Amino acid sequence: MRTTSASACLATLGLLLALSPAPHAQETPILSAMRDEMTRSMADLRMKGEPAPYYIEYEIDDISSMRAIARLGGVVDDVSDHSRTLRVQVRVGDYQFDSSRFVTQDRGAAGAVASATVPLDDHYDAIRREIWLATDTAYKRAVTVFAKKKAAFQNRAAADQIPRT
Amino acid sequence: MKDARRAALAALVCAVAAQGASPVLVRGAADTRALTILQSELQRNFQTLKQQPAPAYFISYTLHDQRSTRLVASFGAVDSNDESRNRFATVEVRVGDYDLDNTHPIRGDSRAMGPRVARVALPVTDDEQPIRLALWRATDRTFKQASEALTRVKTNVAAKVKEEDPAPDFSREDPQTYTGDTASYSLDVKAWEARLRRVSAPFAEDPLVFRSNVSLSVDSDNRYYTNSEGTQIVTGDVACRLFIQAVTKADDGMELPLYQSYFASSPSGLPDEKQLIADARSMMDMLARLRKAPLVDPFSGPAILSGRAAGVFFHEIFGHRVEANRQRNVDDGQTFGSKVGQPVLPAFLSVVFDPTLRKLGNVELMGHYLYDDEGVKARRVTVVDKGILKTFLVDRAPVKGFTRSNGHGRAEPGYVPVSRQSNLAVESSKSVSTEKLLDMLREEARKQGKPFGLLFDNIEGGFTNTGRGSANAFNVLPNIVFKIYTDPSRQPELVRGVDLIGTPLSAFAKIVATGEKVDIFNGICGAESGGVPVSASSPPLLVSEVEVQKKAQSQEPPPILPAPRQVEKS
Repeated sequence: MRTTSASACLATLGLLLALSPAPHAQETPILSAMRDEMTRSMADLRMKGEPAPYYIEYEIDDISSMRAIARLGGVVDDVSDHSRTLRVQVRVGDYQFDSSRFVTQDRGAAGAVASATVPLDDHYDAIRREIWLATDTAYKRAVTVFAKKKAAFQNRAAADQIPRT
Repeated sequence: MKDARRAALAALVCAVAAQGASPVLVRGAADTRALTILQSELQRNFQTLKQQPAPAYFISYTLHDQRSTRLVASFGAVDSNDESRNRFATVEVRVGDYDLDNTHPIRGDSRAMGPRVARVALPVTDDEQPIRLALWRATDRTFKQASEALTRVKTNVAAKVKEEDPAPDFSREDPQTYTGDTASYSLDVKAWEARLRRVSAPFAEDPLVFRSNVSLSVDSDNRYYTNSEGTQIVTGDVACRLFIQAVTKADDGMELPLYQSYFASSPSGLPDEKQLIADARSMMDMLARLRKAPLVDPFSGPAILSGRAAGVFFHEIFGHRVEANRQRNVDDGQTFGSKVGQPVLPAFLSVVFDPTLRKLGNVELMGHYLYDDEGVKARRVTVVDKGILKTFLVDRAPVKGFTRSNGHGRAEPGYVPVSRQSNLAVESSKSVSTEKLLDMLREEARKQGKPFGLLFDNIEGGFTNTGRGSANAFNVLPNIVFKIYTDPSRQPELVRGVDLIGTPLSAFAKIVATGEKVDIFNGICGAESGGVPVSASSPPLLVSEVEVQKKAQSQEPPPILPAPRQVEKS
């Protein structure tokens, strides 16, 4: 038997939305931390000479599960678990051509997604700290992947030219 | 890789609890129902399997009944809270006889499988039928694998050159009976979560501490062992471990980790919350200093290893080379294989392994046990007496000249026991005061024309390779290192970025003197039979020449944006 209850907080924010003030009242610390760090990242997260993020997505999954296994009348396993995981996606470029959908085999460039464990406590500062670090990692990956993708597509475009007669 | 045996002592695994909501240790009269079920199923299987054409001559069952609680907090908030309870058995079946059985090493085939035990999940309650069923199936499977293995062993013995060391495969030991108390614990989880929040909170004040957590693990393990020779053992242990870790980054991207760990088997040995917070604060101070510390270039010259560093140094470069199972393996370096009775260390040093020791001073030792994982009684073993190698750490796989186990057959539950270390202690008859030792270091540096020597004050762990396939070297990973200048008016200078490396025999020859204050390293040692708890204690060592190499370094720069709280404050 396995029961899982998961509640996911999903926040996505485009450039335009980032400019409009978000409602503060009755927000959970999780959502506040997501919103504040996203606003800051959209505004300031930038490496010199590299594109800024145009899209950031955060997802925090709060997962509780319990599992019990019995064999021939005896309980052999009884496990319960509660965790919160964070998934961060950062895209650079624009909607037409960005850092996503490009597979490289280089170490440390496994797509522009970063994940982390966030506290079970609704602790604004501690959650925001994890979001900050994961966003930084995801942004650096996105910039790296974007450069490789651009280079690869330059070559591919030249190689794929079909001669017209 | 089978022949590149890397054995690592990780600092990552020690522990504590503080007063107040300390875990309560409950000792109960032994519950022997489980043992009775094991014995009757073992006998039923053994009576049949010993009649087979390739007969089983030995069966052992070990049941582990474990419960664990693990709480983790970071930057003032609880990260995770896990609780688990499980019961499982390991089943060993030996086919052949004591002289030659299925565990005999296969030579010349790097892909040959080592001996295995079957691990099988058991009901958490004493329900006889499902337990017997699980054991019966595991025994049958293990017996069939062992019979096949024996055929391969016999072919290999016939097809290869005659062996140098035809020691028997299994030693004959006197049956043991011991029924210790079983152990359990009760833990005030809410109070502990609150405490971990408070101890982990200070790290949030430093925006450059990127990762940090404080964790508490409490584990109880009740072990029921029985074998076909008549040994019956019940032991129960509780281990409480508290671990503080924090990682910062220097501007050049180098990660700088610090760890602090505490271990206790009962509440009385544990530091209180005030002490833990003070320790967390001093880690923060040290991290701030380390960020600014200059790098050291690769260097060879004299060094002092603090007691903890020296303990790990001995564990890696010496301890792993006196484990008897390595002398049996023809792919192993066998550094000391033929050196029994000969000097292997300076005459002022002795090395003992004593699993019967619970404590050294006020510190509880993680390598304590009463019976090893092959049911052999633990005992103190003097491996080196005044520089002369006397014996090895022996499990039930004998080596030439040492036909009986000395109680060092150890394994993480679920692995095949092999000879492993316990509580290592380095004893010295040439100890000098700390001041004198520093003077000797300066003198040695002057003699070698070096402007400074190094002091390795703390370490995170180490590893070594004892195989023949690659260099027989060791690494000790220091995280706090000072330069000690020959000019005594210059203050010791904190530096970073180096690991201590070397090869065993030349390193031993260069130990010149020891300090007085013995220090202890508690940790988990990982090798072929899994992770086993060990300790290593030693006085500080003065070594006339060590070599350091650059640490592996992350190329990731620090985060682009400052930590969020800093922004809010500004």
